[in-house]
Amino acid sequence: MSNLLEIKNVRKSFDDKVVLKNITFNVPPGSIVGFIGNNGAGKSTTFKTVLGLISKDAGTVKIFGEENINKHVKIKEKVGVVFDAMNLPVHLTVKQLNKVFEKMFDSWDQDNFYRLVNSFSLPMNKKIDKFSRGMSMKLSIAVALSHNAKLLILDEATGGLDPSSREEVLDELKSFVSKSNGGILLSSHIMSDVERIATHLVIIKDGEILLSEETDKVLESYAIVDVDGGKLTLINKDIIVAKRNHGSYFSVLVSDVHKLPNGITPRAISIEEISVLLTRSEK
Amino acid sequence: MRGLLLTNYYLVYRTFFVFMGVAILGSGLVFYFGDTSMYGLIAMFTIFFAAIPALEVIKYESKSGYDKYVLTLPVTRSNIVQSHYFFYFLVVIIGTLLSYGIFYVHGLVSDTPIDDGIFKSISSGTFIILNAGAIAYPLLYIFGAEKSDAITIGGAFGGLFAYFGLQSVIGYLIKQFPLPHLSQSLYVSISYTIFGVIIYILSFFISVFIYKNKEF
Repeated sequence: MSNLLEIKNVRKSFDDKVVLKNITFNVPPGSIVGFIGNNGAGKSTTFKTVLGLISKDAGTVKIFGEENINKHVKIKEKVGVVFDAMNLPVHLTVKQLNKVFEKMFDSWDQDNFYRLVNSFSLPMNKKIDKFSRGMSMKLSIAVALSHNAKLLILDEATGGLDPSSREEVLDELKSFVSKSNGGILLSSHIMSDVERIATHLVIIKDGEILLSEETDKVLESYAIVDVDGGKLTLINKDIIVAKRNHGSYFSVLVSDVHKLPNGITPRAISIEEISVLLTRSEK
Repeated sequence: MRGLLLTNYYLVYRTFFVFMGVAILGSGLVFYFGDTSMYGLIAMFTIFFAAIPALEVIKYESKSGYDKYVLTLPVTRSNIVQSHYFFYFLVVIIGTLLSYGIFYVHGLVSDTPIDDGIFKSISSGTFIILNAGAIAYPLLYIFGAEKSDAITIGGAFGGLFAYFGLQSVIGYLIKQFPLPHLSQSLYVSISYTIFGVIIYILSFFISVFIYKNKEF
């Protein structure tokens, strides 16, 4: 089956500032793509471009093989979205929201919605503006998971959740992917969440994709080595993905641990370390 | 579209009913204490009070970020504008009917029948408030909901200016195309209503154009 979401060479500028520079990556079926980057790296702009909230200067975005989501409204039935802040109409109660979405989505699954609302311990008759940020995010996730979507686009969806709620939400997301063979594009600053569920990693810095790879491959083949200037010259340049100067030594991210010269020992890595090294590395 | 309309309703129905109550109470006070020359204001203010909550919808949507989120739902941008315009039109109709109701009840109580003058007052009110919406919506889409209060007031004044501005046009039309079976007052009322609806429809197409090109 082809990719659920394909982003190819997308460029976007605001006035003179280029915020997306030839962004390219995919979300295949059955995958959870962790989209990582610092604040202002271009994650939210990428989401907005994908969802047609802003125009792009160049490139293509295909959802289920179709370009221009605004012209193919029915595609939106199959896309669940959660933004980094609560975006539901706050004057409504959960019950009213259910009635609205029942009319909005052909495949609205009321039973699943109420199951999630109960599972997340959300009050039914309270106005949403009385919800905490965590409760609001859980409600947004419940909505995204209740219209038989095949693709979820989640921008910082686990932000503001306590550890227990985060675990619950991550379990629901994993279950969504395994049951429906759907896909998730998930941006998050919480690396433990990404490590736990992401099957693919996409790291963005200053509007540029620095890494787009399967998580397993990254954890198997990639490595970080701490070396002085002399040893740095021994490492094959082709495998150096990023390096950071600490003054007396360099931290170097390499793409193939097996191609390291003898005498240079890699240390154990985490996604968080890779992300920090990539986003703070030198050009 | 039904989902969008229902959202609009849920967002403002409480305010709408409160405003309707205030309009009825205010009308009662004007009838009781006011002069007959003030009766024309009753129609305009009743329709205006009905319409204000509908204009508030955009403010509430923007405040909660729903204006961005709604674009991810299975609706087109035209649908969203349609829902705003249709909802506003509905509340203006409700306000108009309520005005008639108020004058009808007043007529029953005070033994004065609804004459052409009252009909003219109500149709003028409908025209002015419909035009207020026609002016306010495109501006709200351009400048955003942060300026909604100023835009609403500006729209109401715009509607009032449009009313006076069209007086000579409608007078000219009545002279050019006289309808002897229709009283002049009724003719003026119908003309204003037709012009109001035409301007409102034109405004809708302008708003769709603006909204389709808006970035969020």
